[in-house]
Amino acid sequence: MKEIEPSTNEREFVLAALKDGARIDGRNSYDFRTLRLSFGSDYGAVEVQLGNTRVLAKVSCEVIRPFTDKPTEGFLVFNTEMSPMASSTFEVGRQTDEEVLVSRLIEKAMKRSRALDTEGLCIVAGEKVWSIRVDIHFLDHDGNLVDAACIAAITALMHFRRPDVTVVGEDVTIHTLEQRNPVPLSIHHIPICVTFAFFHHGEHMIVDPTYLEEQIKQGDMTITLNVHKEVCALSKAGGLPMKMDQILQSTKIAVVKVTEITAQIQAALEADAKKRQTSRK
Amino acid sequence: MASINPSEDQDQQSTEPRIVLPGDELPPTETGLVEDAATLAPTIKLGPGLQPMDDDTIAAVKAGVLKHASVGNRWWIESNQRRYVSVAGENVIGVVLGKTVEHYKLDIGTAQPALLGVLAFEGATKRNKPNHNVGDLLYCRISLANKDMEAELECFNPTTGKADGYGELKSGFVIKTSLGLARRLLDPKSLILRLLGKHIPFETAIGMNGKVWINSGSTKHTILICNAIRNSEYLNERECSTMVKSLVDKL
Amino acid sequence: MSRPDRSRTSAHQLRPFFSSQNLLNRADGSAQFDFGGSSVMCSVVGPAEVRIRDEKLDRATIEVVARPLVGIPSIKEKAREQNIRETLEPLILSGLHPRTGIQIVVQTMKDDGCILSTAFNATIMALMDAGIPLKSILGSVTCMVDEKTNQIWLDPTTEELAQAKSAHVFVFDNKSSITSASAGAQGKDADVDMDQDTVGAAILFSDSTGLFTEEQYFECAQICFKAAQAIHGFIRTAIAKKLEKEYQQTHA
Repeated sequence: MKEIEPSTNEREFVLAALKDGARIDGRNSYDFRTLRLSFGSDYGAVEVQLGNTRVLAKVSCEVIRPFTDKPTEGFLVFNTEMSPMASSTFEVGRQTDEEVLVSRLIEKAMKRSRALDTEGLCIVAGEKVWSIRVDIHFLDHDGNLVDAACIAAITALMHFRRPDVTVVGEDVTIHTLEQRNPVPLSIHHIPICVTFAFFHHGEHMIVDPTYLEEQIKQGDMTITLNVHKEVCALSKAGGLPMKMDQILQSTKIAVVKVTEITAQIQAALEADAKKRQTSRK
Repeated sequence: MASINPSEDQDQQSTEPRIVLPGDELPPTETGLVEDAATLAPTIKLGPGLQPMDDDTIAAVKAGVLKHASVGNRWWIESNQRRYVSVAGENVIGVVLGKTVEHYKLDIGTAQPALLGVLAFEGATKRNKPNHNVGDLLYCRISLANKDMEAELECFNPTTGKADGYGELKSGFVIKTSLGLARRLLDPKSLILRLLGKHIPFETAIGMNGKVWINSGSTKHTILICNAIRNSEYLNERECSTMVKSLVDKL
Repeated sequence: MSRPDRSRTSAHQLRPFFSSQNLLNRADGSAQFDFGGSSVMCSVVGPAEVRIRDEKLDRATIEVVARPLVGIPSIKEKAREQNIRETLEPLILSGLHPRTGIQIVVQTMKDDGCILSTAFNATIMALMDAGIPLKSILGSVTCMVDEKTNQIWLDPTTEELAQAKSAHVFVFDNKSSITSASAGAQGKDADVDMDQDTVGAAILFSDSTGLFTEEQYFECAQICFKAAQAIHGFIRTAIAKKLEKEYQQTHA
């Protein structure tokens, strides 16, 4: 289905409000929407709600044979196919430009930044390695799918437990969850994406744009950072030309956001772990 | 056809709302369509949500509250949904999508765009007619609605020929609500609009298609009103006033 | 007598089930339905614009998209799409909205068996939420015959399905008059009373896999029918609760 452009009134109102330092949902320019994380009953499933944007991430694993040139390296695979559930503008089997961009960004942020220790996924060099798969399901699209998807993906990876294995000579035993406690993945760092949208030729900048704001924006930029203030990825795919110091300023804002979000993820994971422990007793 | 106007269903008030689901039949004893009363030939008017079925029964096709008005033996179901289906005579807010020689094409939230004749404005003539651009918001009346065709719109009151508030909505902001909420806002006794009106002067246009246009003196006020209306949908009276109060206090 | 799922005491007991409607803001209607550890989210868009090549002049085009929790859609999802579409097409009064499209998306959120039944129940809730005109509602339940004991287990988990000799999915409609309809069923741990008689059971969909006898099939149908009554009752209660919330201002 075709996307319907916002009316002139909406466009002008959003821009006028930004000049007054206000946003249509009552937020300030550098506020994220309320972030909610909820975990499923099994390991590695998390639903993220960022305002009205809703994303489900599910991590699964299987044992496969590694590439011959990288015999000790496991796999990390992402599936970010967009479903028409999120928005009827997404069609089954046909990728939109937006979809390709979002998928690329998530891969860059998570895979290229080496957030997951893929060497640690090796069982028998050259023979058997774990392949970790992250399925990201977009359920509701109210803007900023990238940030929501990244939070969902990294939280699901941190929540996930793979079955324990024992290797005796050539024999590999994979223990079921009942036999032995499953093991968490080794995560090097937590990359978090922060997306900015620009208006009025770069004069106004906001974080975490909604769908309407995304339709009106003149340009955008996504910065991926971790709490150690390391930039993992920076993506500014064309659009408005920007001044150097503006990029520096946005990085500073992003650092604050990343610290907040990381703390929230860790708190949510701890709360879930505690809940699991008490329910087991 | 039955209109959904709360003031009309006076004979409803004493009873509990009757919830019906798709497939629930309307018993003939209640509708007066009893077979041996054929000599009386009673008539029944079915409104939204009720359909005659293949086996000569009348059944609900939507989940909602069954409503009845004894005047004219009218029955209908009051339900809520988001997608608009055009009904002749209803007022809607549309966005101009395009223009041809004869028509403007407007998005009013239905499956197909609606058509508004370029001359369907107060006093418009071939030489002198308003010009609207893509993206303009128009408040119009549905003059013709048919399931097989695009809806037709007009921007004047057909009884007086005057604009009577129809036409372009300038500046302001528009939000999308559920159709049920839009209907409730149209009630002159609407709680949330009354509460907001106590604190902030504003103007509004409400479309039956769930589009609500708000304009006030400042952007901050308009934002507040929009959010208050959106939040009010599932709140009771007390919660509504607390919500409005807390929003106003923050200003 | 006991079954592998130790949270349940009886073979003919459903897992706790619940649902919520109107969860998504972009779709016209949405619902999530859970059977214990299984959960399906369903979104409905329509009557909306339809691609010209899919347009039907006398009725709405119904499209179903099923999406798996893990991996890319496979034959299993294609079959699920077809099952849901063909069961719902006769229920939806598509003649009221010609030249439009109704798109239904079912997304598995958690998988612990009986996904097809969960999807059916989520879909009907989402269709009602979207206000799509329907001839009736439906309720779906799955049961299986245990390989060793030949016992019939209602609403089996993945673990239980692994030892199934046969598995049966049923969908029943509800045909009752407004006056007789009483919402008495409870959503939690509804234990199905076996002493009621089965009248007017209209099977909308039945899918069986594995080896089974005629008697076993009919026994399964009976058990599922009774469980489906509980689902119907639950749906009615859920809708009533939602409407109550919407009406609290008009009553005040």
